Amino acid sequence: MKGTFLGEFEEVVLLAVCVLEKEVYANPVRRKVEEHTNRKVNLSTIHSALYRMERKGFLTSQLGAADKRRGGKRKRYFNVSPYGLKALEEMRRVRESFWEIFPKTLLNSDLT
Amino acid sequence: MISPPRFPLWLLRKVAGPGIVDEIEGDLYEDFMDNIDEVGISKARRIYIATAFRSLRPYLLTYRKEHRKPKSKDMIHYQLKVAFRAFRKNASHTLINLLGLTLGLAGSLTIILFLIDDQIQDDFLQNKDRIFRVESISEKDGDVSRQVQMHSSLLPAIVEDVPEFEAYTRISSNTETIILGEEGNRRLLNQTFLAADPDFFKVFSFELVDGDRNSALTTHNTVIITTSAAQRIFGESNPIGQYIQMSDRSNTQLEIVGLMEDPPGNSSLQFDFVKPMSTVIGQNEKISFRGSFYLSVPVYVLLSQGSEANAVTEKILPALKAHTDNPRFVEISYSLNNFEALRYDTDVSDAIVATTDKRIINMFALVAILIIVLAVINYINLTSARAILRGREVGVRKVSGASRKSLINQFLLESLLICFVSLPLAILLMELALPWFEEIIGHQLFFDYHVSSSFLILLFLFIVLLGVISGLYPALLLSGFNFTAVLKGRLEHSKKGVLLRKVLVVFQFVFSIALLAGITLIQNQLSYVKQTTLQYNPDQVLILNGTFGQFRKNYQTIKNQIQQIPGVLQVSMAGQAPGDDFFGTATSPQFPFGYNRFIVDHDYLELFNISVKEGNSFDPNSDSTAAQVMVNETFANAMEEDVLYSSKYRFQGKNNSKIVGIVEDFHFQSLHNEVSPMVLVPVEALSWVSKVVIKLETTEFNQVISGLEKVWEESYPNQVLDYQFLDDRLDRQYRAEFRMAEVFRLFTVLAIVISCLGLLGLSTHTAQIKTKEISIRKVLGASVSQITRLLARQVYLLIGIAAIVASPLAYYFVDQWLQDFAYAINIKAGTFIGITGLCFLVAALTIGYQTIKTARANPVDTLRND
Repeated sequence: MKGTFLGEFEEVVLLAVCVLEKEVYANPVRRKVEEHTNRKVNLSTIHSALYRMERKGFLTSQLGAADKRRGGKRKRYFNVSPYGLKALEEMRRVRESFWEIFPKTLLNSDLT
Repeated sequence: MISPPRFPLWLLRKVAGPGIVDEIEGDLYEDFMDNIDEVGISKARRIYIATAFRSLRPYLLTYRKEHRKPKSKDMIHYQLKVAFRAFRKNASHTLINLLGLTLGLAGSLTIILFLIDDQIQDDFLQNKDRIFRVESISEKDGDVSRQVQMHSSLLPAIVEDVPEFEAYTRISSNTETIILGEEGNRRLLNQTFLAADPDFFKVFSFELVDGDRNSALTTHNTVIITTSAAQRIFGESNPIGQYIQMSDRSNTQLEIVGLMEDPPGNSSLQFDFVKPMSTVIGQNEKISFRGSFYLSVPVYVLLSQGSEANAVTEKILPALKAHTDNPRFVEISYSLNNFEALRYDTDVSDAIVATTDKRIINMFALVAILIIVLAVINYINLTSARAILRGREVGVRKVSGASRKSLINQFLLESLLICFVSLPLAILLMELALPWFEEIIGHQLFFDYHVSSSFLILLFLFIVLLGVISGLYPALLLSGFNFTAVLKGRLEHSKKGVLLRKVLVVFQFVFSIALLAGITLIQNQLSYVKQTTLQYNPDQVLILNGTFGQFRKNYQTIKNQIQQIPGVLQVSMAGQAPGDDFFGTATSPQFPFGYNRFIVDHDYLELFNISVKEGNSFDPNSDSTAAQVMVNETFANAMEEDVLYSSKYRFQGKNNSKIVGIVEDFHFQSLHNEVSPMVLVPVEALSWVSKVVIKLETTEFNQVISGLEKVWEESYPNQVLDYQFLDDRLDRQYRAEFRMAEVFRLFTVLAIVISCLGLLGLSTHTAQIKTKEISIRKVLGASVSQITRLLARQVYLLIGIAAIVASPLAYYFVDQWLQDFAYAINIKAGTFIGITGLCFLVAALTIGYQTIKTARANPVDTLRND
């Protein structure tokens, strides 16, 4: 693996960024994450993850328009970068490669 | 409008800095608004506060650091980095630059300290501008002569009538001998005594540590001692009230009534003791201009505030005429010469204030400036030459948007850096050289720059200025290039600035050659002086100095006793020894000219190998010797008639003397003076002799000197034996010249070294630029010697031009200097040719290694890269 590692929470945030179609900034990303994980996430945690991933190169960003609802401050829109996408796919491949060889007995007993 | 809590936001803004905080703030605000709708205002507030605090994370700081705008600090940091890279890349050139500037700075700083010393001379004296020396000017047959020794009654006579004289003091300075210790264990000590009038301390504001400055010098046979003399004589005990025993005929005892600090190092007046004038003139002094014998002493006055020296001068003669009508005193003009002007007044000297030749000071200043200019030229030349090699770097920076200003800054920064690195090195070098320099100039420098903050500040500013001056030209040159040309790499062959560099190199060598020629000619003159003065081996002649007329009674005994000492070859008793001045000029109505009277014995001429042209020398065995004299050639030639064997003139005493011989002219005083008409009077006729000239046959001086000490102890137990070798004595006579020569030699070497450093740098540069050209020439069949010639030709051409310019310059200045000598060498063209040759040689050695290395390089190595 590369030197930059995609953490579990980061993966979720990154997926959220990918899923959202427009207006991809911290608040909608947070709502999406909360919606899918069923847990409360603090906005600052989202910020931290987003900026961290930008530094790592998983995300790109640009400034958007200002909004009255935001106290006249501008939004920062995030986009997944090809590298981020690749990292996600890699994550998924690793997991699926494990699922394929996952012992069925374990799975069954878990279900029962 | 509901607003979120302020404090967390303020904190967030502080931590995050501008930029990223806007987005986060916006997101938080939006969240806050959403929460108000969903969970109510108070909960929204709480969430907001919690979130804001939790937003304070380390990534904010990283982000802040990376996304701030570049500041000038960053630019300097970057430029420093580039500068050091450039230094390292051109290590040898950086070293040459550094060395050149260090040498130049050290040299200039040394001279500057010397010049400052001259400037602050006597600055501790208050009322310096009001202190004047009384002088007189007499004119006789068109001969103007200035006198600085006044009749001792002059001031006491007129001071009442000239109210502008606030205070006056007559001063005489003498070396006198003090007897220390008891009988049987006595010790003699020579000290400098000033004799002065009570107002001495009003005129010269020396501070008294102990004693009353107003009443001091009023009581006969008292004295004021300086702290260092007190330390020498009394150690730690209090000197006040103690007595010192003088070694004079009347065994005077002086009571110490005052203690003063030593005169500071920058004082023109230097002495160990001050005693009242009465010890010299006698008590109960009367104002009188009668009598043929009178004392002449220098007189200093303090004029009252606001009085005009010229106006005061006008009052002297009328006041004086009330006391005397003697034409010697009233038919001359008086003047007042300001104290501050005295020390540059080398025409006359009063043995109180030491004089310095102003021309030497000016010359030093000139040399200081030129030395630093040489160093700066080196820097400019080398840097602008090297800068061209950095064309690509400059081009790339221009393309990336560097402004001309920032490029100029880059080069200025580099030169400032070099200057500031060279400053401590220069100071270190100067500190190492100072003891040496002080030895050459013969005195310690008084000025202490360590504690002078204004000097240090000026030095700092000077270095900044130096950095800017040396960096500006290369900076302007390079930043002004068209960047497409720069990037295409055409700069290496650019002709821009080449002419200027050549002119500057020529200037450097003009100065170096002129200095070299100057110093050579000065050396020639000085050795000529020594050779002409001496027709004998000067280090085997010892001169014993007695006090005036000391041996007049027992000269024969003393002479015989000294003759007995083993190692002594010949002894002569004389009134003066070579290097002495005559006591004025004798005049007589018999002759149309003045002449010097010189008391000698018959051994003198033989001892100094002075040949008798006509007639005979004195015959020691004849009874009539006392009635004989000899004259020198100048005297004989000045007479219209044949004087040999004539007995019709009177030279001393009542009777006529017979001129028995004519001696060749010999130099006696310094060569600054012409040989004057001289009459040699035998000691048998006039026995006021005070010198013993002793010719030694051995180099074992110790036994001779211990023999002398024994003789001395027996005859003069209360006097210090004062002897010196003749060559020391003569050296002292030309001390100013020798010192000047020594200093100039030093700085000539420095100038040449700096110039050669520059040459070395430039030749290395040329060789590097022409590497390819040379390789191609070699491939086409050029020989090593052809290449060497190609590389060296330009340097030799420049030096040739420099020699042509420098020679007349040096000729002019040395010729001026030689005007001071009555007997001077002829300046020969050969000297200049020799010096030019020498310069070629030095230049060849300087550039030789580099040139030959380049010429011998294998073309394969240099051409392979293309």
